[in-house]
Amino acid sequence: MNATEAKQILDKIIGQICGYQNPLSLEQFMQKFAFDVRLPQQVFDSTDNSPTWASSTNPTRFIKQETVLARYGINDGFKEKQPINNLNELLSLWNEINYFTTERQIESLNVAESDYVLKSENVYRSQDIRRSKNILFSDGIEDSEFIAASQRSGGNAFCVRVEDSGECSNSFGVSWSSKITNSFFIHDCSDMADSMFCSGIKGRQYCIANMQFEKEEYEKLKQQVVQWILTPSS
Amino acid sequence: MNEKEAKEILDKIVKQVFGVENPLSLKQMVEKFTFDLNLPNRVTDSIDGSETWSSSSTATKFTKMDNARNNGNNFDGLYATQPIKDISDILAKWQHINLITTEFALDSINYAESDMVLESENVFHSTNIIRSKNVLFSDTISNSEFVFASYGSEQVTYCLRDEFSIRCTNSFGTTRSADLTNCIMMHDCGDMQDSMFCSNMKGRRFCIANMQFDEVEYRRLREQVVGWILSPGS
Repeated sequence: MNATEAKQILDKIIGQICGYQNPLSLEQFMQKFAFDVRLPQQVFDSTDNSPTWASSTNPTRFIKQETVLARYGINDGFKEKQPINNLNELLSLWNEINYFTTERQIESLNVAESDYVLKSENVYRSQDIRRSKNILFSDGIEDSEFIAASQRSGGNAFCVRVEDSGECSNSFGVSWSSKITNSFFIHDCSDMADSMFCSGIKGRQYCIANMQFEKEEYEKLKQQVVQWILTPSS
Repeated sequence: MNEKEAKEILDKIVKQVFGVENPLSLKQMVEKFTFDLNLPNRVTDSIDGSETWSSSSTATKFTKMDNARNNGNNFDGLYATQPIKDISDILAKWQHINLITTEFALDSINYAESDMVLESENVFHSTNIIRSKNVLFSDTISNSEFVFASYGSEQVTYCLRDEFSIRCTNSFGTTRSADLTNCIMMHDCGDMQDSMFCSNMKGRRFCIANMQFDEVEYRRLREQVVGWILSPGS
């Protein structure tokens, strides 16, 4: 996974949700839509000073997972016993092995600039990703595909800026909601399709700002909203 | 749930994990151990001006879950349709209902100062707590009990500062580990018991800083470590 592949995935997500070609660069997209998502930060491996990506910057010393495997593979990480007389000696010995493992991944493929990725594929600049594919700039995503700039959500496909939501598809800006399809800016809703700017309602189609519209009116206004979303300066 | 009940639960956790009475107040424990967690913030309900708690760090307008239901009307939140000409009209209408729901809870009892609590009981100042009991000052915990100052963990019991770990009990300061019992300050370990300050190890008991000790030595040093962890100035 690299920036070119990530951009291809992003273009596919935007094309699917908005029906337009993505006019934003990868960097523009990240700045505009992932500004409040906790993402891996670049740090430096304390053993070889190479750049790496960590989900937490609280620790002060880092080590890449591949370095860990090489270093601790010998004797299962077990060290020869040294005497410890007091707490200071103990902390000094802890200091020798107290590294935060970075770019950690288990049973995953094609992952870059990410940390804590489990059983996933095609993941870019993301953290805490489980059983998912094609994930960009996201945190806390599970059982999902084609997701960007999202957090704490599961069971979604083709979504951007989804938060604390599940079973959503082809949607942008969904929070605290479930079963949302082809929708934009939805809070606290469920079982909605083709709706925009709604809050606290369920089981409707072609709603805007909690009001019922005809399909033709809805589609006309949706075009304006999509263009507004994708304008770099909006 | 209130601070007094939270302190009782916290004292129980400390006693179980460290084997000593908790010498610190709730405030001291929070300052010492939750500094890096994203916990709910106190905000104001935009509908009635009352105090409420939200896990969102970016929203500007909030409303309690009770106020959010039906958006104040009796029509399932749906309003009479008004004409909308352009994006400005949409955003003006959206402004009225674009409130982030706070203190969101489903099928939960005895929770306070918390947001996004599902099927849980006795939760204080926490967010994203699922099917858990007696959880304090934590973020993203599921299927767990008696947890304090933890993040991203599941199936943990009697744990403090447990991060991205699973099936741990009676432990403090475990990160990205699984199946730990009676352990203190462990990174990337699995299947360990009665061990401290270890990293990338598995299947051992009475280890300190990745070295094997006998039980008597281990207990002597553990006592010093516990005293250090629970001293206000450490």
